[in-house]
Amino acid sequence: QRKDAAGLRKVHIPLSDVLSNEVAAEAARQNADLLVQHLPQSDDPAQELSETVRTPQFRQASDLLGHALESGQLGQVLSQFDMNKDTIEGADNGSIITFAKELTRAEGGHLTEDSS
Amino acid sequence: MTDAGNWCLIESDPGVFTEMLHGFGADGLQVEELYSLDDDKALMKPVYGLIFLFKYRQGEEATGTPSAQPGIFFAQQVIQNACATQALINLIMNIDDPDVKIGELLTQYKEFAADMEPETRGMCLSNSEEIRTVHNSFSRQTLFEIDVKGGAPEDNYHFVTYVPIGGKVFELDGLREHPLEVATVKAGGDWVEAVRPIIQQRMVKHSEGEITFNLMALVPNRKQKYQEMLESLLLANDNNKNNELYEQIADINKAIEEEDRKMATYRKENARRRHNYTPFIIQLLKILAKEGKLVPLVEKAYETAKERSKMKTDKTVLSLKK
Repeated sequence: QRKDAAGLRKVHIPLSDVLSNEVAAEAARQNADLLVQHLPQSDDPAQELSETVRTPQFRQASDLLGHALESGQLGQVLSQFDMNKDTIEGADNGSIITFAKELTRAEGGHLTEDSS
Repeated sequence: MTDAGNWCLIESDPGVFTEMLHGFGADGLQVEELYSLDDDKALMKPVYGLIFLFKYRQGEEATGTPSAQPGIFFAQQVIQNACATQALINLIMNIDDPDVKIGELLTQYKEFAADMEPETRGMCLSNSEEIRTVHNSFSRQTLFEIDVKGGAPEDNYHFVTYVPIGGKVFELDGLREHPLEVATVKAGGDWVEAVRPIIQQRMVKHSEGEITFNLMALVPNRKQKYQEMLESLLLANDNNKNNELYEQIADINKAIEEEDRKMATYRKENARRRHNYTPFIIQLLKILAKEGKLVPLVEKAYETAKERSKMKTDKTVLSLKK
């Protein structure tokens, strides 16, 4: 029931809720080499990286992106970021869940049985 | 109001306003946020003016008397998104203090607009490319433009300025045709005291309606003031160095350090405001996907969102029953 994409779309999921938490912060710290080039200008990038996901500016940007995703308008943008066809289609569909699953498949991440 | 066009919406924040002053080339000023009018720490004297921001409601009543007193610089607001900058500029234009240098850009505008009507001044301000460039330097960078349907419409915020001119306090509201005279300053009195009841009334009214507001003060650059204090202290006590003096010096140095820290925070936050986070977010999404953490995070956020929407529904039902 709750995996029904049409059903999910009724509830707006703020992307900041997905990303502004300790799990994401820890993943960011562990992957500093991939993220540091995308940080705002800073005298102390390590410090900036560990603060980023909780800053209001990051949260705002995430929510804007999430809105774009849920309105099915993000596919075009994602195609600039080296994402595969299924992921982009998942995004065009306007469901964060579908997008998250397709992206996980594309990145070779583990999908639990429950969420496949 | 004409098309908002290429004036971006900026955040009402002391860090943004203070950096904007530097952008205009103004020297000797900074903006502090006030949580109450008894906030002596933020209210370094002299207070040049106050900026009050609130959510705009149609038909709000005026509290003062329209004034045609000469010598007030007042520009009407013709562009919605420029209102923060316009409020700040309306205020700066009325500062009468040799310690404050408003900079070449604003001096030029002031001279150019001196004999204009308030509306023309506003037009002239919104057409100034240099001023717009400083304003727009705070724009949020994004890689995309979308129509967010069903998203909250951009709230209409409005700024008014309170400024003392010749023994009176005026409210400069860019949506009105004239400056409003709102209070008279007692001889030798403090103008902030005179306008306090009016602002407090406004604050109370807005808190009751749970309407967001904030209050900012344009004050002298505090670091410069502290440094002046330090110099005169040392000069006056050239032949008399005692413990008390050393304590005073230490206090002032501490205050200077605090200002430096604050400015460093402003710089950091402003860099974040200007930053385009899209590539960071996408990269982080990929990392979380690869580690198998993305779907659980999304599902958790979904559950929270569902709970939240349920709570909202309950509330609606309750208020309907009443």
